[in-house]
Amino acid sequence: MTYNILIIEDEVLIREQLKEYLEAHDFTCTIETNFENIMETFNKSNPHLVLMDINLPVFDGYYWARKIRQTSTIPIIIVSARNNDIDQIYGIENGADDFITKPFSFELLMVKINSHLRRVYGEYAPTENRQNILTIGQTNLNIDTVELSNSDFNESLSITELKLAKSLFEAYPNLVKRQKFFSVIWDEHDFVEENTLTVNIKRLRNKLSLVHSDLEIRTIRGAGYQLVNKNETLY
Amino acid sequence: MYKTLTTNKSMNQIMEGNSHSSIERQFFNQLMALKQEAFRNEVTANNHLKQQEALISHSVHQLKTPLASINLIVENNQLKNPELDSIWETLLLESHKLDNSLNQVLLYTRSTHLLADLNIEELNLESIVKEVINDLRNYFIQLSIFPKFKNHDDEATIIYSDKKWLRVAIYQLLTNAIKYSDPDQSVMITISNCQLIITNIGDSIPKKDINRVFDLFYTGSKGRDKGEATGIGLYLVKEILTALEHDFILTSQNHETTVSIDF
Repeated sequence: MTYNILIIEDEVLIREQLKEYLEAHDFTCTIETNFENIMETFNKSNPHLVLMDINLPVFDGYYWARKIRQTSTIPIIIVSARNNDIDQIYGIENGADDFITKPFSFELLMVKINSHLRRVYGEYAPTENRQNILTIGQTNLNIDTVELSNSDFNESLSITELKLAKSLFEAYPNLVKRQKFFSVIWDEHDFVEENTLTVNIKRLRNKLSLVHSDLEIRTIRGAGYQLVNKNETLY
Repeated sequence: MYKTLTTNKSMNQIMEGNSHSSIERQFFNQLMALKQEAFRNEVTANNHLKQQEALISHSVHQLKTPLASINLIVENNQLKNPELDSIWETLLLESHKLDNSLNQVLLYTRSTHLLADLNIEELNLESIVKEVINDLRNYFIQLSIFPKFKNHDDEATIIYSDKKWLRVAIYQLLTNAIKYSDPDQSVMITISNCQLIITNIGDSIPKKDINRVFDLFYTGSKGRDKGEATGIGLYLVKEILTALEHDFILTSQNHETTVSIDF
């Protein structure tokens, strides 16, 4: 199933960038261009989630949130430049479910969209289609069982090792920057230390060789790490 | 005459009495006129101030929309043209600075009614500090600086403060600690005896600057070199901590700078 998102934003650049990103991440998007009668588009497109600005021509986003709430309970996320408590409270009192402040990153937006979709439509509906095993050559990274495997060899990973391995597998054959790793392993309570990265990369290297994988992790000094196939490396 | 007015007779007596000389009445009328004028001036000034605040707030929010567009365009292009990555990173960093400055302007405007806005409640210091560290996650990572947090207090550190404004002050102090750290160093964030101590390793603040860093628009030599100091951040910290009645000290020597706040 593909989720359809209705984007109600009068700033052309922003709505086009949103559409581009969301469509690249397997959503379909409906863009509202007529702000006189948003309910017509809403009823026609029948979206799973609405992303809406507050300052709109004709009526503001609070008005449309109330209108939508008369007929529907789908998640509404307000995207606004206003960042004070009163605007957020007002938005939520008018029926919005969440609030994201401009400027925002796609990363944060995706977290919010996915969490609302999950809550309303169930645990990642298209689970059977999701690829939970990442494979490069003969080496498999199984996200569900948290294991690294190659033919008959198996090694279980720690959660941190899994996060690092996932980033490396997804970026293969490209480099993964240090910043990306730190961002992935950042913990809300213990944060992150430089040492955590080096220690866990070392362990992951060790486990790759324990399963006799063709892959190895190469250090790119000052930049990050890269997964490479030993046999394809030209020397 | 002056003595009579201020000590012996109430205004009403002067108004009603026929026994007073015309010079007294004349003086009274002049006073009333001045009082009214002062009142009118105050109202005009207040309206003017309110209008100015509304204008600043409106403009700042208007600027955030193009900033949001820039960020999204950069992020989409990071995926499409990864070979230009260092350029995209620079753009994001610059846009982050711009957003930071805009937020400071907003906070500065709001801080003019700081005292009226305070809402003192019981707070857990550790959870507030951790929230702020998490808010600054991307900034820490971008500059390869790492937070080292320690709480030496045995029990939960309960303080009385205003959550919103205290967060602003800690956010600002941590931003500075990150900004002026040497690369790949840690920022030490310690809670001990109801004190919050933030230490960073990097060039110390010159003696001639240290008493002035909390002044509005003052940017020390280091800030000017880095070209990103606005001279608003630490001023706000001082205003907020003073309003909240939390004592604080800044010391800087031997390549280490420490701020401690007493709760």
